[in-house]
Amino acid sequence: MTSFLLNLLAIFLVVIFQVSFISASPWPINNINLILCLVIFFAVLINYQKALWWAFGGGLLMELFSQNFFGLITLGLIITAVILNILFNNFFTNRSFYSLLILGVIGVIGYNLLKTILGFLLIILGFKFNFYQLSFSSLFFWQPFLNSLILIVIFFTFQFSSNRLKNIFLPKNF
Amino acid sequence: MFRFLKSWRLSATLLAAVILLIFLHYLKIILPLEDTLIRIFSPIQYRVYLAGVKINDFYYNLTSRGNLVDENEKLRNQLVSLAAENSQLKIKLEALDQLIQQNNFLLENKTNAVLAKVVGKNPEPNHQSLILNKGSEDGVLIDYPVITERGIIIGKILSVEPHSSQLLLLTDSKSRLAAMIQGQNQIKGVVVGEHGLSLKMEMVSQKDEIKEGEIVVTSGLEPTIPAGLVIGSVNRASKEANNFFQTVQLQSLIRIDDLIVVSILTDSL
Repeated sequence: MTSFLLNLLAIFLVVIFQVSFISASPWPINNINLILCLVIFFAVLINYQKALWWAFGGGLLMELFSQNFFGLITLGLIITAVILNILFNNFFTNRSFYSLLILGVIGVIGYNLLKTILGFLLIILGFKFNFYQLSFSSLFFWQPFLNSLILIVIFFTFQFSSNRLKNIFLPKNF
Repeated sequence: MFRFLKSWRLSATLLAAVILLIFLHYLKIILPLEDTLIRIFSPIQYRVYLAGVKINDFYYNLTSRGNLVDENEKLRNQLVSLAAENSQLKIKLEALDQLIQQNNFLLENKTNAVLAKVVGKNPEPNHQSLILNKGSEDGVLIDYPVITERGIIIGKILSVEPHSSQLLLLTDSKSRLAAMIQGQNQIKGVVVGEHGLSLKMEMVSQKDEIKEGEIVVTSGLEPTIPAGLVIGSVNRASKEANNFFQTVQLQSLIRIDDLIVVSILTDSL
């Protein structure tokens, strides 16, 4: 229960920080997506279920402040987490810094492409969709670059504060 | 295997939950909950947003300072060059204005004249003369009258070179001009310059009554100077007891320092 409440509070704080601070920052800082970074981090290195819950909770809270179709962000985050899990299980079998970076780049680009594809589907279904101004430089450089930097920061912060990602040498008993 | 199925089940459940929430959102069933959450977030969001704005302002000031300094320098240089250009344009405009007025006078009176630019002034302080850019090659001769707008005479040609001439201003002590009071042809005198500063009319009989503000014009007694060219206006007339004549102080109607273009009359009216 305590863990659940702590995670919920963390989701609240991250969403507030994302909506009120990062999104209001000047370019290119506003390309950072903290919720996405955390979903990717949890999906690759920590716990896939945790990543799904963060995608669900963080996505729904972000929907409150989005002008686009309700549910688009949450669906995008959950599907991105699923895809990353499939890639991780089939291609990247070790939880390493490099697999985090590569999957991070794939996750960021994949998330944005997924939102665009879902947007097209909504138009086909007759819904209105605001195509936000997403330039190629933002999609293929700034977002992957900045979010990868954030992943690196999260990785080393987690490594510093926890034993989970550290190398453990087993003592040899003679 | 079980873990794999469990994770797939969770994904599917959460996706289904999202789809359900989408429906509930558009049916406006969860609208009060959304509203409550936004209200809870609002105060914290405001403070975070303010902190963000302060940091953004600081960052913006830091990065734009260099740009502001460069822009300031550029604008300063632009201002200097525009001020110089403006000054040039004002002079040209003034010259054009004078030209138009002189041209209008010449056309009205059907007079031939040579337009000349003032290109310099005699540097000697006791000599009130201007250098003009037209000379004998342009038909200018000594003693020709020089006028400005509205037919106001300012002097006579003192000396002539092929492409330049010297204009002796009426205010020069050596200047002498036959004059009369406009409208009163019997009141005649001689206008004399006073040390480059003012004009006075001499040789006016003490019997003649002269009023302040009356216009003094050329009398036409000189061969090269036509009658009717305006000299100035009467400032005051002073009569001395032991003198046959009274002295009339005149006020010039133009500023000599503002002259850019003048007309040298080459024939009489």
